[in-house]
Amino acid sequence: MSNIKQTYLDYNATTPIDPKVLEVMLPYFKEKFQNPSSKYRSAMDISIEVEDARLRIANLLGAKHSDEIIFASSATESINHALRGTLKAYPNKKHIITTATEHPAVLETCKDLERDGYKVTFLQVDTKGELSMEEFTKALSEDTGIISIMHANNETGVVFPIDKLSRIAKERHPEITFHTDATQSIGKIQIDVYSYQYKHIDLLSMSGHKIYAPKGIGLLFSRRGSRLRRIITGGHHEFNKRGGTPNVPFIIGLAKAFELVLEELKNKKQDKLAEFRDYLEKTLQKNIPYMYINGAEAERLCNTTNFSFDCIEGESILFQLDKAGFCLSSGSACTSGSLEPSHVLRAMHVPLTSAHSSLRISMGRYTTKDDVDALITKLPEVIATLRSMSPFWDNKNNKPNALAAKYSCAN
Amino acid sequence: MAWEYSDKTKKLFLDAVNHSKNAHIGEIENPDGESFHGSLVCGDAIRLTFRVQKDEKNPENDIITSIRYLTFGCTSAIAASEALCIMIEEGKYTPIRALSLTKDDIVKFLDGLPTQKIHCSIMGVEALYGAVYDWARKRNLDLKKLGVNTECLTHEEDSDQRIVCRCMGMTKGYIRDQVRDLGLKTVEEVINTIKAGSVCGSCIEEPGGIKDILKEVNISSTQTEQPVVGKPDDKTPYQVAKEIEKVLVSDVIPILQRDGGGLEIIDIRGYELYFRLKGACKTCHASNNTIEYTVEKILRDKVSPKVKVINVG
Repeated sequence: MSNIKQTYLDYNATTPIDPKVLEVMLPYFKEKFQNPSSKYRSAMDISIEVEDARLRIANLLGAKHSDEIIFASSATESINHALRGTLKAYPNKKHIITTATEHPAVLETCKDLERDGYKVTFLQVDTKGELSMEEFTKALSEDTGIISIMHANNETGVVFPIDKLSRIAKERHPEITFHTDATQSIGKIQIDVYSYQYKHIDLLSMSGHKIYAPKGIGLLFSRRGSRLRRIITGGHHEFNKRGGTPNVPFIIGLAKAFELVLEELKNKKQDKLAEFRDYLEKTLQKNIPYMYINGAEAERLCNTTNFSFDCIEGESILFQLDKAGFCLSSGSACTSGSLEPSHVLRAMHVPLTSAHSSLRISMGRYTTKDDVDALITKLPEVIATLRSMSPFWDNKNNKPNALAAKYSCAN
Repeated sequence: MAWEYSDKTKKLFLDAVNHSKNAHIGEIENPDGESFHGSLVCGDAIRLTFRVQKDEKNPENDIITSIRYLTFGCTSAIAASEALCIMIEEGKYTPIRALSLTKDDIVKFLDGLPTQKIHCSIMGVEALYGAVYDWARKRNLDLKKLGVNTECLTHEEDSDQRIVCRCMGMTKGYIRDQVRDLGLKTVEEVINTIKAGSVCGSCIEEPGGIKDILKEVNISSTQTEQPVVGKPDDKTPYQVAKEIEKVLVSDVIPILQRDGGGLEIIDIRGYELYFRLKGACKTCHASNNTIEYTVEKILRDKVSPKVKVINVG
């Protein structure tokens, strides 16, 4: 690697492990290695510590019982458990409701279930990125087994009103199970699953590595009374709901990380991120013509912003930013394996002319004003260079040329 | 999925964005040959312009002296444009000789490209063909008469020129040739390699669309590679039974299962299938005839017109 200073602005992809989290994990890699299921003192001590971590996590989520927390290897596994496990428990229900902007963990699981004969309603969003309550209500039916709607979107940060949606669903069909993928919102929005607001959510998935815990740990909150069959069979771990020896160090780390991130939320430490975001958006919009902020009109996470630029392509932006030490993501077709532009932006009807150039900036605990300023200095230069090379850009008047205009209504 | 570019690719890209002296970014005014290929919608587009040193006696001997591009696209699209221009200027090509450049030459020049990015090099070559065609028109040359294969240049009205992928502006002939030449087998491979069907996807399933083209090419290639032994109808009873079973499992039973039914094979003798309906289908006498008819029709289409089905209820 080169010696260029790294500016990390991709916290929605993953976060570094907090040193305090790492510290509490270390003993469990060394002397406290025993299997918590074993029946001797040292092992039982560890079992107690795992259960203590579970209880603390339950409290942080506002859950009433620690057996409502099922540890898993990732949020993706939890999501699979929620969807497949619920549908297995309701063999007569053959309908799933989800949204078009979900993370692939949900989308692909739903598509797989579709191949198994389930009917899936993918709710569309409007140009702001918001769902239509009317469409949602219409989609509900006697046959609906599970609803899976993400809390906050990973690409745009747009927040869905899961409290309202779950209430509407339960009022009409109390039997429906409501699952939410809260991977991005945990630690940024306070969720108490037994509060009046969130009491209709039956299942909630989250991940460790978005809240400064390591990769490889996630969990599923499963409200007591939800019918959930297991999908990973094995020993009697996790109250018989998920086989596999508990990942002790990571569970201990997750509990610590969760405590830290909620403490931060309580002390309003994240307000600086909202300030950074607004400052970044305002300044860049001043300096870069034909730039758009995707999802700006909806309720958003404080740390995420998603830009598009006319007439250039995202991967070549990333490549140059990478050279200058910036780590961030693009929804460009060329940065994904599939060569398709971001499904989230397409669902929001962002024109293809700018969907190819989307850039996601997500900030977090260690982001400083210097990081933001560095991007503000570099980005306009990169955009201008690429535009000067683009056959769709009018260099004299600094705007898209007639050729580009031809495509603006192409979709 | 991530990929790594070769050092050469990275260098050419950086030369271009830094507007270094030897970069070929730009546009030639009143060019001798020009073309535009790709579109904003698909995420790649290139405008190519070149100037020739004119040979007064014989336009065929014109030599391309300078060539410039404007490219909208990813890192490799820009690097491939740069590579193309360098090769042409250094090689002192005549426009007609330039037609011999292929995407493979570009890929080689770049020390390789990730497979998902091959389409970037194709785009440059196509733009070059277009520009040469434009030059020939301006110089009043009939490329066909000169023995140049103009299939890739003209858009005559025939079925090969039918646009299949409208988002990318790709014709049937083009997609078919790429599928054959690159040995593509699945829709995914087509999307990843040449990007046909990658935007709206509507051309994948439609009649005469990408799936049909894949079928056409791959069937004809298996036919040429593995000659069929004997007459096509010379199947042993075992082969017939196997085939019937395969079609039942893949095409028939899923349809019945959708309505809560099913089908049990009792026996297959020659081209006669003896079966029993299960589940909802069994009790629904009204639909029995329809089901028998459907099963028979599918088997006759897919296996052999000789198939007969007998419901032994």
